Amino acid sequence: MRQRLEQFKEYLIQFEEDFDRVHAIMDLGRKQQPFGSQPALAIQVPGCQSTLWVWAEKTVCGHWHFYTTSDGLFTAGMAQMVAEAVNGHSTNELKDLSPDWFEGINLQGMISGGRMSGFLNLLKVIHDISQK
Amino acid sequence: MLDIRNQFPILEQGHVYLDSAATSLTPEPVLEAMNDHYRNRRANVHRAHHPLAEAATERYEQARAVVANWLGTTTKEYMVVFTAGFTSGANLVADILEGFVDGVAVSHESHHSNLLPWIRLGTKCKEERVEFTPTPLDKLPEMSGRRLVAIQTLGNVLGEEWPVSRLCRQANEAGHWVFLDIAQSAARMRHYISEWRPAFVAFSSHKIYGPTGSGAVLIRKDLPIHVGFGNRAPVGGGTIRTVGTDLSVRWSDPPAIWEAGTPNLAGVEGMVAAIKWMESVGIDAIEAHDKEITNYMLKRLETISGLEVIGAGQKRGLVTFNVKGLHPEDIARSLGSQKIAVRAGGLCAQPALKTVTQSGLGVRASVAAYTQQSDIDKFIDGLEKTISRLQGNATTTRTV
Repeated sequence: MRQRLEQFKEYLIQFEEDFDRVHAIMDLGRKQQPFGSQPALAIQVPGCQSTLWVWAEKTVCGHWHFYTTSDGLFTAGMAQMVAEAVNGHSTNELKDLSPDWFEGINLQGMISGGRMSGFLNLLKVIHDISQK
Repeated sequence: MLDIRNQFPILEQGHVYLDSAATSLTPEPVLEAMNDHYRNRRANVHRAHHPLAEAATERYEQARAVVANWLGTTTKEYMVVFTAGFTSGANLVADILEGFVDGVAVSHESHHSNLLPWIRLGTKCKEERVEFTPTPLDKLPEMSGRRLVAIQTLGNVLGEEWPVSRLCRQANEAGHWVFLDIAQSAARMRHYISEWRPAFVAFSSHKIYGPTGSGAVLIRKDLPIHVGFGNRAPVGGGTIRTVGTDLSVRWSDPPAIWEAGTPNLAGVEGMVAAIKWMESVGIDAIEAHDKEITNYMLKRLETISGLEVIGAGQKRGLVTFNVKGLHPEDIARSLGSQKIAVRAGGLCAQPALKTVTQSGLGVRASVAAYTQQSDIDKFIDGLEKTISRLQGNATTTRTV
């Protein structure tokens, strides 16, 4: 996880202009599953602006793979980074998932567009799915 | 066109600030007044007998008349109660009115703070809630009992002007009580409260170039409501005449009973300074500027392909729009990255936006006295750059 987050951090600091950085995050969002294609088991992350869905599969090795989709590209990009960071981890590894894990790339500041903290809600949904 | 931009130090940072409907920026004279309060005039009110405290009490009490006069009325006709802002004012009124009205009448076009307090109040009333559409059907329905009718001068989604004079007259003639929300209009136009005669008026200081955390509610003095302290209104210091050793309580008269604890003195001083600042610029000049700059923005926005302005008709102070195929949050994020401040989302008025858009979302650009045509031009340039980048599907060549 740390390694993938560092890669995102390195990627984002390449952009000198805020405009380019914001659009780079939106470009990451273009990698998401098509919006509207989420399965029935997908969970909607509570938030005020963009709609964000999360669902997951568990591999035979016991590793989780999370999928996200949003109608907003920025939210999709942020969620994509979170999902890629937690993917491949086991239930036990995700037991203590917390915002501290993402310290350094300021995901919390960027993903919380509405009055509700979308980032914290996303982590909670991922945590809850992984611990069921 | 006004030229007062240099009075707003925050604008020196190069922001194009088009989020004034959410909160306005603060000019130097208001900053100076609050600074002066803390540096030279700090003392509590109503409690002490030293010169600083007596002067503070005098200024605080005089502020009520400043507010009333600015809104076209007097403290003889209306009691001015200081609050923490519009929302706390509306909630105070809802609290006071429990048991005094038979029902509520609300409009889905109102923003949440002029809607939720009345929805909650309505659950405690015997008559069912009535919903009305004031524009363009500027007629209130026939309603039983005495209703609290919640209306507003300007909408915060469509920027439409409500027919306040007519709605107040209709409601007053039918024996209903009007709660008038002037949150959006307070910094944009002249008000005629003595003429309109709503039962209640509320606004926030932070939308009139003043500080956050202050505002006021005006309560018409001839209303047959006896003073209670409600179920949720705070009580404590300043709200009582005496408390006996047997813990019996004699409550203060209003407005003291509704201003528990030490008031936001710097906030009230800042609010008065903001009112005086607006009056020094000229309310009519501000209104003319507001109309001119809003029309200019609307005209420029209407030239952008794929952009849909939400709501037809005249706009006052703000324009809400969507761009086909783009999410409002993405537009606002991109503009924000160019130091262009707009608002996106449900605009704290979800029923209003859900009625006029499919998504229930929009982008709102709102102006103020400091907004210049050059701000609008930069906004339009930034918006075109944003749309081009998002619609062009151009992606960065760098990889992660």
